Amino acid sequence: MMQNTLSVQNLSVSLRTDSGYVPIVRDLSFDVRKGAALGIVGESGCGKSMTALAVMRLLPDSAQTSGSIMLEGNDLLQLSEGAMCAVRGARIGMVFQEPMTALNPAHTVGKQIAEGLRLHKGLSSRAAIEEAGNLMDLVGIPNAGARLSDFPHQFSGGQRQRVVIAMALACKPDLLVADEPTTALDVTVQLQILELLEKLIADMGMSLIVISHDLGVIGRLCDDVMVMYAGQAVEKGTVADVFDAPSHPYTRGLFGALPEAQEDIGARLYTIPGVVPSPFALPHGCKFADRCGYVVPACRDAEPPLSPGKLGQLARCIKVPEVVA
Amino acid sequence: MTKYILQVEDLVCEYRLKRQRLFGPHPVLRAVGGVSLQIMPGQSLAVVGESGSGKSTLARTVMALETPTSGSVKLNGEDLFAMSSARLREVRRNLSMVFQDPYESLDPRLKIGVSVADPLDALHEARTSSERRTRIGEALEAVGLRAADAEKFPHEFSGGQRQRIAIARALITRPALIVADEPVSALDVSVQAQVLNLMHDLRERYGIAYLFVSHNLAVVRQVADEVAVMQCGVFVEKGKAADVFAKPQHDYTRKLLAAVLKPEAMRRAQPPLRAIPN
Ligand SMILES: Nc1ncnc2c1ncn2[C@@H]1O[C@H](COP(=O)(O)OP(=O)(O)O)[C@@H](O)[C@H]1O
Ligand code: SF4
Ligand SMILES: [Mg+2]
Repeated sequence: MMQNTLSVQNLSVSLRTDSGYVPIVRDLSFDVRKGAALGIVGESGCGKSMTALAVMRLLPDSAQTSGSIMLEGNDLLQLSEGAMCAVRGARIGMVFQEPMTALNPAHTVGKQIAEGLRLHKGLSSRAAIEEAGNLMDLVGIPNAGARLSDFPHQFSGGQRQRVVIAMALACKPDLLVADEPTTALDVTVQLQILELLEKLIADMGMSLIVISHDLGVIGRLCDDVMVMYAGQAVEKGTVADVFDAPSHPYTRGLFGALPEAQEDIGARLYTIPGVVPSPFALPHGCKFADRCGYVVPACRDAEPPLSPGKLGQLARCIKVPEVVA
Repeated sequence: MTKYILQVEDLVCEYRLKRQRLFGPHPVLRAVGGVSLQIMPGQSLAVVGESGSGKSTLARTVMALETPTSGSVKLNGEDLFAMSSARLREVRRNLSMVFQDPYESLDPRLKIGVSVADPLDALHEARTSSERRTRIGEALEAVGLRAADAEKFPHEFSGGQRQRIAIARALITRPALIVADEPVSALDVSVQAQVLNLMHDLRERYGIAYLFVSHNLAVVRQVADEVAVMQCGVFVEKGKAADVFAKPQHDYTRKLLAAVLKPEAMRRAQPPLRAIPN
């Protein structure tokens, strides 16, 4: 039997604004398999971070959420705030793009890592500090024990992200949610962090959600991928299938824009014309129609359902045969 | 006249750091430790290396925003640091810079047109207000925006559009060389592709030369004729872009190439992607 650590069904998130509720995430369903990594990819403004915040129930008060978010069989949307606090940090760890937002510049990193251990695991101060040293060592910070008493600014950008990962891992969570964990880093440091995450999920049997606008990152780290556009999944499947035969025009556009995927030096890149539609003014029918080279009048009649892509994936497009032909 | 638009010789840039003891000596950090390079008109050189390797210091010194400890920077054969400040202002028109962060490089209180015209105004070049307006319009249209956008404010534009605006500002003096420090590092992949294409096209259209700085070897493929790999303040490898990519000579270059995440799983050649009809 295949087990899912996280199963999200029909998640919708709307934000209250001066002009009423705007839909940010629409009818989103996805699973994170046990011990596997799911990548969520899409341009800025497609709802990736809102999805992550919804899973951790960290959305602003102006948000209205519906659907279900099952973590190991419990619906997080039904938990009290107190119960959710215990889930955050203990069962779901979080890593964000900018490590300094997660770190308090006024406290030593040892104290910050230890805090979660005392709070969620009830360790004594001494045991917590000792465990913090082990965690710093685990995430590859040289001379870990001696660096527990250093402050965040004494670490380089890549090392700070390692510290944040150590904090996120402190209570051995079932699920780690990483939102653009390497976007602010040099490519060489990015590779080291990805290798670290890869090793950690293998060693600890943890599940992972990685959010990135970069398919290179997803391809390196993930087993499954979900491509988001205008708050919806437009393609989802295994990385093997989606990378082998991307079946939605948007996914194909994202691949085309990657300089890494270009064989020819000096060639122009493919670009996706236009911009992501504003949630205030979503077009009728397919939300990608204004930017799509395959559009036909029928695309604008109704929202296309997720339908089979070229391999095992699903794609929200009525012209899949032509897109993959 | 020399044939190079930019010629840098034995450039050394040192920063004096804070004293560790009250009467102790200032420790010196050598950010650029003897770098030479030449760029021909219309050619582009990419300098690639990790944070702290000295790339930005090199770029700022070429822009005469910092004074080198030793060595020279010549623009069209004239040494930037041996000329009068009046002459420096004059030759500045040939030099423009584009920075990494499209959010920080534009003043949120100023209309786009004012920001874009800033380098022109500094040169007192546009004699009439209609000439000034024409030049602003030309610069905005060159980067794919509309002349009417001059009346808008930065918050009305996306990150990619703001980077276009920053490029329009760099173009308005019709420079022969643009120094770009990580111009696409803060952008989404799809927007990054648009800006890289724009830089590629501007070069073909106006024959602009680039000094392009990046930590990512992958993004320089579209714009670089030559690549210099920088580590700890010096070039460890320099050559034609195709050669550096195909036959890297230095271990550090190989390390940078290995960090490029090619979506390997995309093994199968894809059918051509249909472009949107205009
Ligand atoms: N104003 C400054 N004072 C002291 N050190 C500096 C200053 N600016 C840069 N540095 C140092 O110089 C070295 C090179 O920096 P930089 O040129 O910014 O590298 P890069 O652009 O490759 O990131 C780094 O060690 C950096 O910390
Ligand atoms: S449904 Fe139509 S408009 Fe939408 S992605 Fe498919 S072809 Fe393009
Ligand atoms: Mg820099």
